[in-house]
Amino acid sequence: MKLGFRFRRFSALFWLLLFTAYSVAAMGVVILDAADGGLDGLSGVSTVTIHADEEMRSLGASQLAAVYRARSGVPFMSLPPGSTVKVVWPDGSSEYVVVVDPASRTGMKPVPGTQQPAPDGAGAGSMKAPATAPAREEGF
Amino acid sequence: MVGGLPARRAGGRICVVFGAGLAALLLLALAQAFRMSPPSPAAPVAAAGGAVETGPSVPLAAASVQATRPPVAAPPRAALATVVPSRLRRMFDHADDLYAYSRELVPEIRAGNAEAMWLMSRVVDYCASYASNPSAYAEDSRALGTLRIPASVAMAAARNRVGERCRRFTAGDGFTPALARQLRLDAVRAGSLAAEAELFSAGEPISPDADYAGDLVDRVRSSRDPDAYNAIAPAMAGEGFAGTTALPDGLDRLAPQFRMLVWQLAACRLGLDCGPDSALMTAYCVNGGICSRDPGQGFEDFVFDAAIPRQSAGLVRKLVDALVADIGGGQ
Repeated sequence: MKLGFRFRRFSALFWLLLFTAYSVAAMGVVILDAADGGLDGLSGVSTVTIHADEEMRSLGASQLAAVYRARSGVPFMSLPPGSTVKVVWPDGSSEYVVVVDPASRTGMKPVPGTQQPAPDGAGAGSMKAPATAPAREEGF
Repeated sequence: MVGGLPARRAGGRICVVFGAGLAALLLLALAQAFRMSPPSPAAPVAAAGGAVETGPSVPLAAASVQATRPPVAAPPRAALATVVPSRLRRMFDHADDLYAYSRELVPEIRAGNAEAMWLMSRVVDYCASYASNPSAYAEDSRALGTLRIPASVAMAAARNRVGERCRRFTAGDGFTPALARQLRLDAVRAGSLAAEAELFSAGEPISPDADYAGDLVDRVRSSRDPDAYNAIAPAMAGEGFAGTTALPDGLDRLAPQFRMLVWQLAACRLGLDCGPDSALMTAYCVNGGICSRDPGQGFEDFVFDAAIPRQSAGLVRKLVDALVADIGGGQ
């Protein structure tokens, strides 16, 4: 009886977590983690944190986004203008940025108020976007 | 007791369902909030008087810095002539050595040539990633080459092209986004529509007026200037063009990234260099990671090959035709 009750609670929790994860995925927010695949060695990324000036963060985010698009099979559809992505800098601090112009080296604009300091002891974010999935696809 | 347990279970299920629904609503609201809040444009440049500090070591751009800078104001319509691709513009597209090219721009800038100021801002944009640190640029190129990504060959070629054309620039030239912005502001003051459109697309409109966006689009359409079309294209991914009669019917039915492409395709049709090695293709590849795997492919072929769904190609072509059609204001 007690085991069955626990099982039902676990089942409800499982479905709730699954639903939440699905909802987050449906939002289309890609996470660009600088620690992913050694991208924290790129010159525009390596020294950037949320405390850097906006120009540096914009350049760094654009560099990460370029690699993300280049990795995808559908670069035009990946991170299109208007989409929002989360960037995790090498120190683990993170923020959201908006894609303004994918062809510009400063085409990513940090969203004010979304900056999060690095979690204690963390070097990078825990969620990673799939390497080949588009951020958000929009049809006609 | 016996009857209370099922009731509690039912209550628990209701709570789970209700909680899940609430979570979904919250997530959707969050998603909507992020999608609907584009980066807040900086305060209009006119309000700030256009004062931007340039770096202390800016030998090439020194000619652009004026002693006193009047506030930037939108040029009157009458002052905007239709722009025909000039010798200076063609040189930017084809110069093997952009340093030598920039030297030719300097006297023109000193003479107040708006196009030369704007072209210098393009040189800064094009070469900044290399010039700011040539050895780091080479290191990045090597690192990107090891990623084994589909576009790595094309990206390496594009980065090499930038490195080759910009090889004589150094960090001492102070090529920063702030310098490019300052050159654009100078160019706008001197009457460059393309520079004004670029500032607008970067979220820095020169006027706070509510109808400014629509007015700017009207002026770009009337100018038939391919570079102005290209410059305003990124802004087309956003909203806020109420009041303009210059947008063709059906453009709002396109997803944001396709609206941008339609304007760039129109720019190509009006004479923008859109060839395989053009600045447009290079910028997409080097800055955006959007590279054609076919090295002989120009922008138009690339877009219809890799971006536009086949069933929508007809609509896109129709919109491009409409954008390049003379709306009566051009010459």
